[in-house]
Amino acid sequence: MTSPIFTLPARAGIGLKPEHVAGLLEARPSLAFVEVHAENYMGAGGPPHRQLATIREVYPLSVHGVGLSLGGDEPLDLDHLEALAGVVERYEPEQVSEHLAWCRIDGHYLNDLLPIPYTDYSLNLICDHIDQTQTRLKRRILIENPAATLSYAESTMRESDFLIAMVKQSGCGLLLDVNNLFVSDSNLAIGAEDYIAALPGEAIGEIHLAGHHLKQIGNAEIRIDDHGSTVAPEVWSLYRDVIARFGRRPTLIEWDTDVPDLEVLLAEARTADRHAEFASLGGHADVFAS
Amino acid sequence: MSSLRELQRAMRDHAFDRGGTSATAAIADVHAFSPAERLGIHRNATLLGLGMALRASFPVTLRLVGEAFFDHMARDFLIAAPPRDPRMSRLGLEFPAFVGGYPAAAGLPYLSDVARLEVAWTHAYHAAEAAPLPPEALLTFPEERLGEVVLTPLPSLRFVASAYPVAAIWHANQPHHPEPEAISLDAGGEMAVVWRPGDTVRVQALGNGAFTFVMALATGQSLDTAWAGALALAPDFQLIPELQALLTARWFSEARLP
Ligand SMILES: [Fe+2]
Repeated sequence: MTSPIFTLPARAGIGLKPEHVAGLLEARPSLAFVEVHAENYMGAGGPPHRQLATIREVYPLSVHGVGLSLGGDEPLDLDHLEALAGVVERYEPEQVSEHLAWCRIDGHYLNDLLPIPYTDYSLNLICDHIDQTQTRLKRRILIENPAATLSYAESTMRESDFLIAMVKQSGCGLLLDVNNLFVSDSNLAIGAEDYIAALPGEAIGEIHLAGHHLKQIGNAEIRIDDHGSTVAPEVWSLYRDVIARFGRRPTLIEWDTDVPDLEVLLAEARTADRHAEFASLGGHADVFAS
Repeated sequence: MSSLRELQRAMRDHAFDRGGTSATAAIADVHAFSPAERLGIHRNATLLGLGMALRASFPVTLRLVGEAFFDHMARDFLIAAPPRDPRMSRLGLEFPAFVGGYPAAAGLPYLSDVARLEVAWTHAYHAAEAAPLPPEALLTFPEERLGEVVLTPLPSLRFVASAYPVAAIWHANQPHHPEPEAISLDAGGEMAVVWRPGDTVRVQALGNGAFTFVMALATGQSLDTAWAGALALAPDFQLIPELQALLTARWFSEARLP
């Protein structure tokens, strides 16, 4: 699998929401791509497919799976892999991605992307599942780092080491979610700067940006990744670090709860492009701190 | 914890509030929060997230019982039957049966049938595309063989028969009705068809004869056989106006002789 690592334009795109389809088709704003969750297009037909088929004629497409449970310690759900392959064959997206996570065991789905322990065992497990998926889809996929609120006592590797080994062993690419990284770092002190410095930049095919919120539990606060607000200043700052180090990448603005008007998403995408442009020109100053 | 699989099973049990307390031993005890608090965040994510998805799939059921009651019932359902499909469009296929046996909802005997109607709605919304028959389709057959004609239903077509006026309840509780009018349960049962002839899902109650007729056609019976069946149930059943209705309602995609 030797396809180039990023296949979308290296600018900002947005997640596609049904309520924005009409506005996008009417105004056709400049966007590098739109991204959809594969699971929302696994029905046979109906309005979701009618909308996506039209959108797909206008914008490059990224298909993002949330249900394959690559880190689940059981065989992959073959029906689900076939359904994913069906979406990929139907729309021929420029890019396909999934998660470093598990969400299914004994056939039960948790509708939650849970981290896995970082061990040799889980590395082999997820690499086998990635290999099976890439073989079925006949393409390289990107794997996204989780937003963690917990870690495991048995982990023997740092997350960044695990990602590096996973890329080497499976041939997958990386989807670096900078908000997830910031959330995990705040909650578990995994060291975001060292993490970024360790990553193989050539493997990073896409970046995610999103909002999160602070939740009070007892006397302390934990960061919860809910994709329900604008990108936090600290996350913009990390994003500029990533771009300054690795160059520009296709960058998604994710917004999945309390979805705002299309204009708000488009403004956030333009902001991402300004940060990326600034950072790629070597800028590090906090001119964007606000 | 003996294996990753055992750990994931315990975390699943914990998330669905079915035990799984052994999972806490596997979670690193770092910084401000205990393993139990960290797992609690994931239980919330699972049960609240799936509960919101059920709300979205059953808006009329939700409106009939209110958010607090619905969320409680949804949580009990999810704990009893964790989802076996990651597609939110498939979540809650067993919800109507659960609602039917839910003791706290016993005072609302129609609720389970309303939920069944909503499952049919979701099915129709995601069903495969098929162009409905044009109204003149039956004219192309020789008159003497019309009775043999067999019709193919749209992939979206579903039938919901109830001892309660489910279609009237469903229509009265759409978002554009701020205050639903009272519906008398004494009005009797309704036989509803649910289908999607284009972009929009439709819900319509049919008379006894028409419902039997359309359902027989949908299972592949010929016009003659279906008509005979409908007449047996509803002696005043009129074929010609019903055929007219059938073609203009656009429940079928294809007509052919066997
Ligand atoms: Fe993400």
